[in-house]
Amino acid sequence: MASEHQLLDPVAIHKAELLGLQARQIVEGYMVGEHKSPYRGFAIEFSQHREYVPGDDTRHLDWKVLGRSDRYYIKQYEQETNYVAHLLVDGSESMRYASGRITKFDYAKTIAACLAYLILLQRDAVTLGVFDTATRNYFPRTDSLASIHSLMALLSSFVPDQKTRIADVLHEMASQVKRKGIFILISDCFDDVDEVLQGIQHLRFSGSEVILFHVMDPAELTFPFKGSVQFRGLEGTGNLITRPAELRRSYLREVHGFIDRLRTGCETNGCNYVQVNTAQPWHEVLSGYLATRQHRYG
Amino acid sequence: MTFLNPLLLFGMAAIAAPIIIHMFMNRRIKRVVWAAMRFLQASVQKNQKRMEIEDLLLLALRCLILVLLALALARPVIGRVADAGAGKGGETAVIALDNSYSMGQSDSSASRFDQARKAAEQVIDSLPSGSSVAVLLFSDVVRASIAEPTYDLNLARKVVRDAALSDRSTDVQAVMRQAMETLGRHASASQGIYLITDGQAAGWKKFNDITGMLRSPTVKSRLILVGDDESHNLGIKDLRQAGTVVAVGDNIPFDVEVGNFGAGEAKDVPVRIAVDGDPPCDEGVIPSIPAGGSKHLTLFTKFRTPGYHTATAQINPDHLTADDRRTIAVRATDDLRILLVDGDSKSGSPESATFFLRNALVPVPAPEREQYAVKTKIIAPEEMGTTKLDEYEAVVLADVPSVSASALEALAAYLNRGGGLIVFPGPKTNAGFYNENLGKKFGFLPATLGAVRGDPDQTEKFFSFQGQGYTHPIVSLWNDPGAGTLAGAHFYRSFDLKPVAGHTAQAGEAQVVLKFGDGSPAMMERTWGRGRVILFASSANTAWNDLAVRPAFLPLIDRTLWAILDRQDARLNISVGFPFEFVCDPDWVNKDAILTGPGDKSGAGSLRRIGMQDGVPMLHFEETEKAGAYEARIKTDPPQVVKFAVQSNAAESNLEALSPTQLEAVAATAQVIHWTPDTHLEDQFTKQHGGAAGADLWIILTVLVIAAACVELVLAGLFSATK
Repeated sequence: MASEHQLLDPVAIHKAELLGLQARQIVEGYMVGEHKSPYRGFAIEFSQHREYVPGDDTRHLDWKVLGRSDRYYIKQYEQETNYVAHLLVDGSESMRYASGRITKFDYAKTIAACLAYLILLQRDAVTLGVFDTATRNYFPRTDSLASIHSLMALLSSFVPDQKTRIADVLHEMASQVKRKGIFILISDCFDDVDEVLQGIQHLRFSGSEVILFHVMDPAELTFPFKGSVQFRGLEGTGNLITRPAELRRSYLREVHGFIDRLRTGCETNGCNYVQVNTAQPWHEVLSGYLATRQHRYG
Repeated sequence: MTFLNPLLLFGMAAIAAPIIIHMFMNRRIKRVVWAAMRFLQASVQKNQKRMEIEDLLLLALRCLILVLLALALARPVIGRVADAGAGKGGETAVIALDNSYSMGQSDSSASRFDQARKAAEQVIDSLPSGSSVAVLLFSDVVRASIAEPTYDLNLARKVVRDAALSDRSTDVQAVMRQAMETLGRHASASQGIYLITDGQAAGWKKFNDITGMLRSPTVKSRLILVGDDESHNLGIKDLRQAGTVVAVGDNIPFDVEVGNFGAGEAKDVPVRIAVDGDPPCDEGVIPSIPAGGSKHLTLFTKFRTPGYHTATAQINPDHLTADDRRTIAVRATDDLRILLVDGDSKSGSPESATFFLRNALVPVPAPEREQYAVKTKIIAPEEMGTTKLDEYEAVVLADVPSVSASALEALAAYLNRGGGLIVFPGPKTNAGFYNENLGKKFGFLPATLGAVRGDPDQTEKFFSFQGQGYTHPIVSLWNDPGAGTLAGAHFYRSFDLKPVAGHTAQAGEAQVVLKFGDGSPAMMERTWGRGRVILFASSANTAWNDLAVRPAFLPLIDRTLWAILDRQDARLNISVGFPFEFVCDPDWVNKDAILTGPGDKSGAGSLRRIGMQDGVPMLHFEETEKAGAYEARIKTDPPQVVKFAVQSNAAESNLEALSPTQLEAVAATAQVIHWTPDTHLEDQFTKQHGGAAGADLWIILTVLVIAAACVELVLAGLFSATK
């Protein structure tokens, strides 16, 4: 399990910082940020100067410019607002699987930590929830970068040992969160696909953006086993003895069918689907995804 | 169906191997914690049935391969095994070629053995390609010229062509047993024994055992008979020196027994005897010998020099020449020393125990004693320990009370080397000492000295030797009334002799030589080591009997001495094939000897070194396959010559063939072919086979194994491919 400090991969953070995280939609908020607010009369961020015209509020005269150049300029501000990113990390037992050194849960935690840091760095707000059949650990909304450590501590302390009920968690979140925001779901989605998609649909219905980081182990994607193997299922799925080499093609058909249904369902519901292989470096995953977002949304 | 290697059917137990491997693999199964179980379960659910069927199919196929392999190795044969593969594949054959001396019978063109060799070559020629053959030459022993079947048929032909006759008799059972054992070691679909012989009935003594072996279901046996019936054959059945000491210059009688093995009476059969290969020195004619009978003739010869000589008796050659002459080796002496141990102090007087013995052994006036061949020396019992017994041919204990322990040890060594001991008990004899030491401890005596019976003072009460029915060679002379009688002697007192079995390794069987009139033993003998011990029941002087003053005493003592010497000379005359073992002078140890004989084709002889064997200086020679006179020239200074003779079994002279009834019985179990130079054996064999031949299934099974293995390989590849 990754410790608190390990959760911040420096390389990943560095690249993500350069690219920035751009919200696809303008969300409403009460803090000024990089996100354009639809609300007026409330600005703190200087935008440009223009010449004074009679009738302008003298409170916005730039006295310093007047003093230096004896000209009347009005300071104009562009009002910006923040958004809330809801990070939802799957903490079910199936996330404990690792064919190599890193479990899917470790990987998910790292992605969540990186994203949380980036978002807070942009002065946006973050909530964090770790769930299995329900939300277990929840960190309420924060826009303080200083709270990143608390976030990571929450992630680090969680031990996955329950089954998954993703749909229930998504429905619950959709009904609780009133404002539009970004829901970032990090999970292997080893649950009923239709129910998961219904949950996503529910979130989308409330106007929020949904991003799904679908975390899979490389062994789950390639099924490289040989000889006779006894598979001991997580989440109480029982044991099975078989010769996996002979079943590889059939298994991969099942897995790819599942992924395809998930991806298609996400696309249908306007949800961003990002497949993540735990063998990939985190920074590649994050920077690749953020580059795609920047390209698509400007 | 028959299996040539039925034991290999146990290989079917290997069927358990795939199951064991499966169980073993289960023990080595890998365990993996797995999250994406739902997909795996779905996949298994779709494929499980098919995989189980595939697994069962592969398991069945693998078991089938092992079963087929075990079957193939067990060599199943359908149909009669011996016929199987006939004309189809190779045959494993054993040719048993009779080389007993009866096969030397010749009708002036080709001998039976020549015909047998031609028949054997025909057998080899008739064998199908891929055959292997062993060649056994048999008589009463089996000589494997090619012990294990060889595929080199040219070698077999050469061995047959080079085969030589022996001077042995016939024993078909031995060669049949060896042939069956040879074939037993070489399993094949087609096995055959080709027994090529003259069908001499004497060689089929264990007829039922032989036909039992011929009846083997796995081996096809063929009896190929060569030679025509022979209705005339005379042979010398026996030649022996006729019971007297062979002294230089004396006329020595030899008893020649001539047998008529033909169907008709033989008349006027001339018999000659020759010494040391010289021209015959005596000749006689047997007027008539009835069919199946034999007649004796005594011929005389003289030996001019002391030492070893051979005497050869011969009759006119007939179709079977091997039995027309017979040789015996004898040792002529002009210095036969006898040690008389006198237990009586009145040495030299008629009352002494050895007085009559000495005169009987040297029956010449005192001035002539020096020239006489037999010389005696009389000593007291206490002198035995200091006397070199080896200088004497025989030691006589006459009324000796007892002897020292060292003398007993010396006596044992002396007897072991071939010496002779004659015991005459008497009034002074300590029976307890004799029974305890010479009897119980050393086992010299053929009987224990029991109670003494009779009283010498009551001369009106006496008992006598048996009057007739003498079976032992020492006394067989008196079966002829012309030789006088033994029963005339009166015995007033004697020990009761109780025969005892020999309890030591050296002691031979105790034999009664002569009995008293009441049937109790009066004289007994036994061999001990290489020597002989003769025990009388009464005294050698007139103390207890009047035998010593009877006419029969002289020849009885002479023949007793002859029996002692005959034991020593017996080793000079051996049967064919038996090793010649000669006890030598101790000075000859480590000397070389050159041995020559009738089987020595080069004439250079064979070299042997005289060595110690069981503490005895011994010349050992085992190349005695040919009957006749042999000579061992010892490289001493001056060289010493030992002659010995090898004699064949006279039973082989009987050329009577198997009866038609016996041949019918043989024909029920084997193919019987009367071979002539015009016989085509291959045709005979084919006729016997007919068209019904069995088949060896191992090739088919091997092909099936390979096919099943290929199918298994392909299926295993297909089944293990990912689904």
